Amino acid sequence: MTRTVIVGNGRSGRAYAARLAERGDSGPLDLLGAEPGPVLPRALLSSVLSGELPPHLLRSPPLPPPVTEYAGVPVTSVDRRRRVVVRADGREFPYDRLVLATGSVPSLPSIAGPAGARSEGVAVLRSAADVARIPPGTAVVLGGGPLAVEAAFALRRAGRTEVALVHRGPWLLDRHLPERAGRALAGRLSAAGVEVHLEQRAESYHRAKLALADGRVLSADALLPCTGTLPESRLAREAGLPVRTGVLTDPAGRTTDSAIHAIGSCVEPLRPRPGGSLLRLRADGEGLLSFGSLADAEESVVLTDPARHRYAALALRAGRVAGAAIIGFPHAVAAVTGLHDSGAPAPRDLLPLLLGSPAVLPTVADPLDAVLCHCNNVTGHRVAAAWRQGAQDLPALVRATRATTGCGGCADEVRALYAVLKAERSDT
Amino acid sequence: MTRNLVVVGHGMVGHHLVAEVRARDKDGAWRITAHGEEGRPAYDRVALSSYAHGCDPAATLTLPREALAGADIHLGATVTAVDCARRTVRCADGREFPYDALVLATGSRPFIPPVPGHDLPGCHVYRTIEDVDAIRAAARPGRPAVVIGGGLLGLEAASALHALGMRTEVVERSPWLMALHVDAGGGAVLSRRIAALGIGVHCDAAVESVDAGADGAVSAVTLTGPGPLPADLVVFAAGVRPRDELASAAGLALAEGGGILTDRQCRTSAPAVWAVGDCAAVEGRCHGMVAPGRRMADAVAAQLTGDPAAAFPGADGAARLKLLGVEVAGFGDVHGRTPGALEFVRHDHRTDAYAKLTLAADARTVLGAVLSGDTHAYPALHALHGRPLTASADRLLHAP
Amino acid sequence: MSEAALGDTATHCPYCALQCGTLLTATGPEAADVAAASVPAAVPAADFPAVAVRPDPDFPVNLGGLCQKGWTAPELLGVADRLRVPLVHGRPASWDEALDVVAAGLRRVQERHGKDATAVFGSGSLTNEKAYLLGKFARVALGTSQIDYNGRFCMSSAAAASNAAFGIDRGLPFPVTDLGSADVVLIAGGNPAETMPPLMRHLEHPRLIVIDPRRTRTAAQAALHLQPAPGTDLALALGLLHVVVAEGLTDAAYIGQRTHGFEAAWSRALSWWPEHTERVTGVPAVLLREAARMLAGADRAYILTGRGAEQHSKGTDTVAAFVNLALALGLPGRVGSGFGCLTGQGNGQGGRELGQKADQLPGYRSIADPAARAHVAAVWGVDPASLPGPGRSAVELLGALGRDVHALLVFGSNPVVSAPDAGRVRERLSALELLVVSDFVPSETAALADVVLPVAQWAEEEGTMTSLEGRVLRRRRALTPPPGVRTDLEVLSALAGRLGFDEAAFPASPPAVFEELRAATRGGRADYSGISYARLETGEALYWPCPEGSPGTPRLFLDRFAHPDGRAVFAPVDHRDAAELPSDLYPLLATTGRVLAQYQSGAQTRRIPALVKASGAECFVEVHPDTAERAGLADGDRAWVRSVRGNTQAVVRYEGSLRPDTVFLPFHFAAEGSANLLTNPALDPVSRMPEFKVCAVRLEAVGTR
Repeated sequence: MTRTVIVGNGRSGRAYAARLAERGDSGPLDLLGAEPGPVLPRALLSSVLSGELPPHLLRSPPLPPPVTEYAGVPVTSVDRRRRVVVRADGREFPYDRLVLATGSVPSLPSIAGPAGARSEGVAVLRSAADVARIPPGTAVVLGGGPLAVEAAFALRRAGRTEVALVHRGPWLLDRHLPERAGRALAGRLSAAGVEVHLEQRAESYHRAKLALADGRVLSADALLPCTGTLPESRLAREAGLPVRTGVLTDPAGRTTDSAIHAIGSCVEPLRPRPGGSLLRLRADGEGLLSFGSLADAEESVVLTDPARHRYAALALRAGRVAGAAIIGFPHAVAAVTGLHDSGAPAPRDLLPLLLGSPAVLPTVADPLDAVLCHCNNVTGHRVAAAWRQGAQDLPALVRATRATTGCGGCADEVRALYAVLKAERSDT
Repeated sequence: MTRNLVVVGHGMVGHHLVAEVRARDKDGAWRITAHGEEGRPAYDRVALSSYAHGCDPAATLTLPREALAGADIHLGATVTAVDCARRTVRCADGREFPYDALVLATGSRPFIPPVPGHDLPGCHVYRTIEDVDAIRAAARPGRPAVVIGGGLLGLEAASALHALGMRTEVVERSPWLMALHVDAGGGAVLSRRIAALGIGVHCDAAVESVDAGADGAVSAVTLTGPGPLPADLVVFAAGVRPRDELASAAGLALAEGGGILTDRQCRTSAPAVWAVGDCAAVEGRCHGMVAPGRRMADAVAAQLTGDPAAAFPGADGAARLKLLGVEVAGFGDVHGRTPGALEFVRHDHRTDAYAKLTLAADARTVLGAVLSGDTHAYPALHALHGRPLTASADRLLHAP
Repeated sequence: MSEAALGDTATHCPYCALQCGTLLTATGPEAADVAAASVPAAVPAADFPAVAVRPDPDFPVNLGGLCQKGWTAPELLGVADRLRVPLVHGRPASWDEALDVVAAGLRRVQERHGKDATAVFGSGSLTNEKAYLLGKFARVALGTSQIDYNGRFCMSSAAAASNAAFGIDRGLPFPVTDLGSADVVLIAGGNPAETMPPLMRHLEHPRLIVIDPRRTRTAAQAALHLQPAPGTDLALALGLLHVVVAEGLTDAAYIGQRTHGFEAAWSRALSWWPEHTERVTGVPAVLLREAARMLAGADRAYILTGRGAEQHSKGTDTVAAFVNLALALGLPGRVGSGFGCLTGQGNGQGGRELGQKADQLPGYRSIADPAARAHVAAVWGVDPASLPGPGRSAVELLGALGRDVHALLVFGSNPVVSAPDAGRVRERLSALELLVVSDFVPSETAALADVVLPVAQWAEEEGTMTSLEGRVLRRRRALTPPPGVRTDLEVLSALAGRLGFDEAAFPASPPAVFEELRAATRGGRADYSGISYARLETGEALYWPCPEGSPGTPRLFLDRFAHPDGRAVFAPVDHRDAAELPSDLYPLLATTGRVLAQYQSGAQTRRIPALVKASGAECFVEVHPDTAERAGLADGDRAWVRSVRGNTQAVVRYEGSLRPDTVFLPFHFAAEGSANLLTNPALDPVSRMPEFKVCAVRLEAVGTR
């Protein structure tokens, strides 16, 4: 039976292991991870940072046999000739098939200091433990991409009173969002209490002070660089596999070594998707979504609410939503993500969809046609007819029509109609 | 006992006022005298460009004369002074006319930016039939012409020049055309469609000077920034200024930005004196368009014929027109300036049709709209002005 | 017509599990005129029902309320095509002839194919007495393991999940009236405003959170409506649990003292953070958080599930996920809070705990448990070894007809309309050597039968029913049945006799049967032994378990749960897809359900003019206008709804509140309009509940192909 070793117990590695185990035809599956504790899925990083998810609640869902988990010791090398994986403690794991799922690492600016000698105050976010080690006090987030924005929102939600964000670009998420959307996002961050500095470079960081290129100095007891990630491909590179920044694979994940696959964010992306893949920021109530491209649309649909920093733009092509940028409309994010995932045609009524309000309901031409009591199928006309036939007080109307005897929910409407009928009688 | 109503000015609004009073005044309580500066009977200035395209002005443009039956219309008669104390007006020929009620409908004049060269031969304005006559005489097919002003008037002028075969360029100070009536998106559609006709469009462009050629006539227009535009003919269509000089001399209060200051009932600071149309600044605001002017005239006519409380209902800036073959419409808050307003835009790039709804902060009440390229939705939308959306906005805005 | 008893008879509506208390008054000709004057619509006095009904103002469950089905129930008593004589191969026959044919047929099949080739299909509408006797008949007189009932389609998933979590299941383990004092009630997959309207009187005070892919009338009244894609309720429950735990809103003391298994459940819910849940369900994360916080912030809260959450191939796990949520919030087993399931059928509960279910013996006992078998065998006077083991569940049983099962007795059920993949069901029923249907109207299943036996209706018999709150109620007779019509008990008794058994062992008298079932349930989880007709006569509210001398148990779990260690158990469940996903050929999801004016297979309610007027005479399909237009359909057009299993014809009804990817059909109609021609018989592995609530379909205008 094929023995498989998976290096990296993050989301990709675990999902892969679970799928292989489910198939039922695999031999032993060894899942190796460097971190000792439960793995923090990247998506939950902001929940831990914001305090929404206490670290003690983190668990790794158990993986079924034949998966065996080995955590806490990093893998140092892969011996392709002998087909073994070697850990830092010397232990070797033989494989018939090797899957590299080593993920990605933050790419840090030089002001953070060299690896192994990070400047004091620099907090690199990868694990729950990292979050606990962030120095208290003022915090500055470096960067303007999704992680930076999520981190800034999260720090405020965690209760930090002084949070700033410094970004080189002209607006936030400038690689994903059009300018108006990026500015709306900045507005939301400001409204959440984050000081936003755009078109600013960080020059130096020393003794809890961050100096910007224009001479301004920000207090930064904690500096959180969120300036991108790089594939973690060292193992592959040192084992002699072709690597650009990420491991080079074919579309099926195979490397040049037939026994070795690579999956997840350690892999070099095959081709960049226009406008990027779907981006869904996690910040409670902020409602942030971006995918595809807003250019070359057959039809553009845009909803703006500058006063509340809300912006939504959809690009329609062939009746479908081919691109979207949504800031501050959380209901719209859910609906438009659904359209993206299903490839379904866009609905006609896009304004209610973006606002998250129910579709406009047509009004009944003659109000008396409407059914007042659904439990007994009684229309306004029926009540009026009973009135004319002699049921001239409320109990008589109820007896004659049975309205209000079911769930009782129509009592107000029946009473209102009764009042109208009574008034009309006194008029004539 | 009939009383004297004197109307100074016989343009579109002046004409409308007389017609309205005649229609309401069944008992003939008013003896009406109207004085018009132009030698022509009142005509439809808005449709002037059809004259430029070559029609008979008398037949097409003249406003109905039957509506004025019973009134004394003096054409080519300039009123030179108003005496509020004695309640008389004096004409250029010296005659005086007493009034029991005086309505000033003196209109506006074209605004010419005070740039060097603004009065060179070859420079024109675009307001009267005479102006158009002059332009027609001066136009040479294939030669360059520049229109200064990209609003309603400027585009009308450009349409005329284009029809006369000239290579026309439009220069506009605002970032987009018709900036008073449409938003950026709507203006962009307009620019694109107009440019597709071969007319040059320059927005965000200010005129530095009008330059003469060797013969001393206009040969180019210099803009701040881009290079000079060659021009054998220049038309200034950069706005209008209210003609309030008569009122000013008579001691009537003027609005800060010009125009005869009136209250909501169009009453000036002098008793028994009203102002309507382009010259009036109702509650300090000039409107510069015919439709509001007519509503002012209606209010005054009503006051003169038994409804002392009649007032000008205000204008929502509503307009629906076709310029250079492009349909444009708008009303209400076209720029989304109301605090807390939302804007909803649908732009069909295949047909280059743009529609924008301005909604109140409740996301339901319609505050305004802009339609550019396709205005079929205008009636339904305009009917919802100030009301909540009861029908699907998307279906309203979408192509029929 | 038949003679009427004098005065008011207090009984209960024959339809749903709410079992509204009603008063029946005999109407002679004079009384008919008086009654006709107070009833709308021109009903000639001659056609007038023999009784008039009105709600019992003193019954605390319906508080004087009654829906249109209850109001018109008496009309069925005299309906024109009511079955009044036995039919053998379509011809009228005498009872003797009919019963002889049945008995002979049963014997022949058993000799040829063995005892398990004979089967019984019962109903959640049968009284406790009938359900009990049916179970005994199957296991003793027929000696077959093959007995199940249409209640399998009711609460089997909820029962499986509740049994696993609490050690016992009783629908609502607390009185319905408790709901009124709650602050928040979450209803997952239930639509009481249309399926049991008087229940809404108890929900006026609480704020409602409703989970339903459709914006039903219940959802429209809710403070929050969560509208997930069909088949994703399990993910939604996991998402709610995630927020509750992550935000520290759990009742830690309760979890520690009254439960175990939290860790395993949480380790799965950890991956269901709000944005991930949103992605899978379509419910905005912001709503999910709001719902979780609203529920957690309530002093008193209930979580209730209905068929919408349960009729799935993962129905048990879905209910379990909602139970997990309830446990995490410390709701079950507290006065004023709890978890429950809204039973649908009139006697969905009694029907199963008295032994109609394939794996059950009276007392909610397991048929595989030696102690249970010994007890019941003793009551029945048989050798425990002679009792059959567990049999096939409903869908599996229907699938075995004409293959391993060759004779089927159907009591009070109409599987041709109510079972999933109805096209196959019809084929299977037609392949039987002997099909016997006992009913009071010529249902679609009766139309296929070799023998049809006419039996009494609700107002013509005595018995007991167990309502949604586990309370045992008296059904009382106000009329004698028409001559020629017998009761189900009489039928079973006579058949048992013809099969060579002592008729006294199969009494036809309801009180006698009840006495026996008391003994049979004694000591079981559903202990009815302390309940008697005499006690019920006094008006005592008796909730099982009710051992001898006990006042009954209105509220379960207040001291302990029913597992040996007294603790409730969290279930480590994770989400999985529906058994059938949309495809290019079938791009839409169809969900089925009920409407107010019709009931279940419609065999009864489609015969009542006022109800047909309210619901429409034809099946309809609710479609989002955009979806309809794309299929070339306008409101009111006739459409084919097609699935890989079959096609249903329905009239299009525009419904702008629907998800564009979802259509809805009521399952009350027959022939071409039967929605179950579409539905997927994929079964939940534990409860064997079929996946009525989601399958893949497409829409076409009639005339296409």
